[in-house]
Amino acid sequence: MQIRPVLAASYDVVAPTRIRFKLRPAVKFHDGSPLNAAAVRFTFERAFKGTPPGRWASLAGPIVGAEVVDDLTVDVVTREPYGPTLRSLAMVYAGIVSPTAVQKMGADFLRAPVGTGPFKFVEWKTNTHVIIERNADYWGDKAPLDRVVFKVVPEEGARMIALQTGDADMVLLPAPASLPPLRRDPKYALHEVPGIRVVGIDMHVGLPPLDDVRVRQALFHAIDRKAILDNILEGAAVAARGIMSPGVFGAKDLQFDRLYPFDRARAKALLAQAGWTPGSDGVLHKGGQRLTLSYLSSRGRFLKDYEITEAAQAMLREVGIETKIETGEWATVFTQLRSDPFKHNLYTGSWLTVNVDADATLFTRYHSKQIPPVGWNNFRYANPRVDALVEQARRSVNQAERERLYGEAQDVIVKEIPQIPIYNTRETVVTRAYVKGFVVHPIEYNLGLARVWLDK
Amino acid sequence: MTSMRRFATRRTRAMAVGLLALVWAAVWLSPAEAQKRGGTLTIVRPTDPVSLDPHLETTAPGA
Repeated sequence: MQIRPVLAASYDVVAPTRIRFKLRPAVKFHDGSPLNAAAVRFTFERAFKGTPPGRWASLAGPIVGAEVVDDLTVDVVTREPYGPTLRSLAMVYAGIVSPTAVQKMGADFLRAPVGTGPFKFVEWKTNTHVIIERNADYWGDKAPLDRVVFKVVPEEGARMIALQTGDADMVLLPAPASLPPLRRDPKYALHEVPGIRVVGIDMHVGLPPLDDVRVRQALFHAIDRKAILDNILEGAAVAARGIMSPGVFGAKDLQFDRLYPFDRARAKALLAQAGWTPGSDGVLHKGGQRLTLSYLSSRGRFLKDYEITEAAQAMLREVGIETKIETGEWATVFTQLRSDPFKHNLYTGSWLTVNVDADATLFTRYHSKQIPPVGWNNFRYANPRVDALVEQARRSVNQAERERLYGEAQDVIVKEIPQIPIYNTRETVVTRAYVKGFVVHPIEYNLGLARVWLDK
Repeated sequence: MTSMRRFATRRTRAMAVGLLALVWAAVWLSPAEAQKRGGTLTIVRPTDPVSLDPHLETTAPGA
């Protein structure tokens, strides 16, 4: 993927820890206030120093802030040399916001954002829809579309019906079973590209019994990933071969099928080695404790997330592991994930390496100091060697060296295996054929609607 | 008479230029450009966003 300038007209690396950006002139926020270097500085301070710090802060590495040089010139400063700086600034979380709007609206800003893009916010009705409309004052090519309505339809069958009846023009997360006939029907268009999201089962290695690596390895052997891919995902995704997707810089094929093949006998043997023995009902016991795991799952946040949870529950029961599933609205699940302590042993979850650089996964998810809410080490994984490798890799600007360091880190992680990756996404969007100009992006957050138009 | 002829000539010339401009416009405007239509695009997604603030949370279109 290539990075292209939008609000920045040009940049210059003036020092190992300083990149100077020239901003595009005469750009206005949707509220009419000007885009300038002060707005960029405000944005960085808000994201990095707010209480609590914004999500971007947990993904921005050693980027410390922005400094005003003149009205249209701003320096982005890092604490140390940082290989992925430009990729980090291209993330969706790094959007420049209107200081005027933030100061005026306070907490309400999260329900009515103000930026500079080709569309501006109109309305958000909770659990019903979000509406945006063309920004007639956009500095670039005006979007052909007048409006976009994002409707919330939780059930995938209902989303497909909406497309067929004309209530919808585009479906996100379409039902996999519905895709084959749609491919042959000229009224529809399927847009597909390999994605970079990995979906799987995260394990809390700080909570017994998953603090025992033999138990974690046993869980991996107990999950029939092929059955999940064939019967639940029905070809809509591909088997994960590592903890990151192949398109990510630094990703390594960890050969899960060789290291952790589906093998119930091996799972049971590992659990026995760890001291667990079957009770009268088949659930394992040790020291008077049943092997019962608390299992948090979203429902509909990721393709087939809850169905995978239910399948995993059944598969784990086959080797004597009992699970209690807890689910809820995504906002509720998300709040738990970002909290510390985290009380669940398992979580069916996902991670998108949003800047397509291993740093955004290996540092953010595996460094011991990245426990939520600071970072995204939901596993509570800690290994000093991994810490040292990912710290060294992010400081380097030698890409070959970085790749070698990340490879070594993944070799350590795969032995300690704090998660069971199941699939890499194939980003699939279905539209009516009259929807033109749409190109599906490997990073699902990028819809590119400014180039879309309707031929009807 | 002479002035009327000049006027007629100028008028004819103006019309010719106008017609030429229309022809040029039709040529330069590709069929795709001419057909790009707006309207409302309706997208269905499975979940509500947690926040629309880019710094706080994704509005992941796939979620």
